[in-house]
Order: sequence, then C-alpha cells, then structure tokens
Amino acid sequence: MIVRIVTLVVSLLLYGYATWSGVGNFLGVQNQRLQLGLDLTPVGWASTLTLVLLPALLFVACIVITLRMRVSHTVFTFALGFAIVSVVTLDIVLALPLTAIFAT
Amino acid sequence: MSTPDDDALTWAGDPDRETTNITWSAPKATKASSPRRLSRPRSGRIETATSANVELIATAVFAAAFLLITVAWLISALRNPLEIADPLGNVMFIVGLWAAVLAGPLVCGGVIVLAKRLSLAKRSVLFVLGILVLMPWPYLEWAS
Repeated sequence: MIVRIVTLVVSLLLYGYATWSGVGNFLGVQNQRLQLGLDLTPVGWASTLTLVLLPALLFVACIVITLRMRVSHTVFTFALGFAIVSVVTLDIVLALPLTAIFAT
Repeated sequence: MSTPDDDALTWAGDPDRETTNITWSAPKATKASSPRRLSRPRSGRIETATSANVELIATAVFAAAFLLITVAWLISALRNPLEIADPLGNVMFIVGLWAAVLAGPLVCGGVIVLAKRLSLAKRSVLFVLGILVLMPWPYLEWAS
C-alpha cells in the first residue's frame, strides 16, 4: 500500500510537472505567434496541445489501468507512461523545427 | 529365463538371481503399440520447437531494434542538447532525457514479460508500435 501511494505521489509530481511545462510551452508559443503576427500550422497546434494533454491523459490512463494490478506492475506502468511522455516531449521540443510550427 | 542384460547386471553366485525371478532389463515395446504412441508426441514436439524458434528469432530482432533506439537516446542524453536557465527546469529536462533512455528497455521488457500470453502476431504489433513511438527523432535530426 505504501509503495502504491509513493508511486502515485511521485508520478503526480512528474506527470504534473510535464503538464505544467506543456502549458508554459503552449502559452509561450501563443505569445510568440501574436508578437510575430503569424499563425500556427496544424502540426504546431497538435504539438503544443499534445505537450499539455498527453501527460495528463496518460496519468489518468495509468490510474485506471493499474486499479487492480499488482504493485510491481503498477510501478512499471507509471514508469513506462512517464518514459513515453518524455520521449514525445523531447521529440517535439528538440526535433520539430520552428518552420513546422509557425505558418509563414 | 535370463537375458544378456540380466547377465551383465548380475554376477555368478548372486542369491537373488538364483532365488527370485527379477529381470533388470527394461521391457521392450511391442511392435504393434510403439509406432502409434510415439508418432504423435514426436511431431508435436517438432512443431512446438519450430514455433518457439520463430518466436525467439522475432523477439531477438525486435530487441535489437530497441537496443539501437536506446543507444540513440543515450547519445542524445549524453550530448545534453539544451541548457535551460531555470535550475528546476534543467533538472527535469535531464530527468526526461534519461527517462527516454529507459523507455526502450521498458517497452521491450514490458512486451516480452507482460504480453507473453499473446500470440506472436499481436506481440509483433505491440513491438512495432513501440518502435514507432520511441523513434529517436532528435538523434536522427542531429546525425543527418
């Protein structure tokens, strides 16, 4: 039980920070867009919204999936979810060029 | 009546040999019963071994792909491509980099261990999905 609670709390912090960071990224991109007078491409909208929604949705999905799981599987599932969130976030932040986000 | 096997496993003057009628050699299968009984298990065993080999080879190929992905993410993590001014943001970014390194082994191990009851086709779909999601685009962009 204690392991489950610790897993939930640590995951809440990690997934929560990822969501918070996504919101910050979304607001930053919107700010840039307004300052530059540009519009976002569909890829730009999808990527910025993904950064906000993916961590939150995966966290909820992990909670639902692990309700009746063993503790070891619960820890594994939350770790796997966070790893996937990290991969997608890094793909968007590091590999997506600005020209794919802003419509010029 | 003693057989040559019995002669080999006993010696002259053995009281058991003379007083009892024990035979030490294994009974030989009769001609009528042996071919039918042995043919089915043999073919089943060969089929099981073949499918196990196919599964093993497929798993090894996918595991190799995940290993390559993990190495690519490891290179990205060691390169540390972004410096963030905010200390907390920087720490969390590095945590994310190393979580991405662990993603490959986690997905591969998860499919192998947790989905072992699924058929090879379904497991292969999971492996391919994992490879597509974990594709190391930052490394590919940096390397190209």
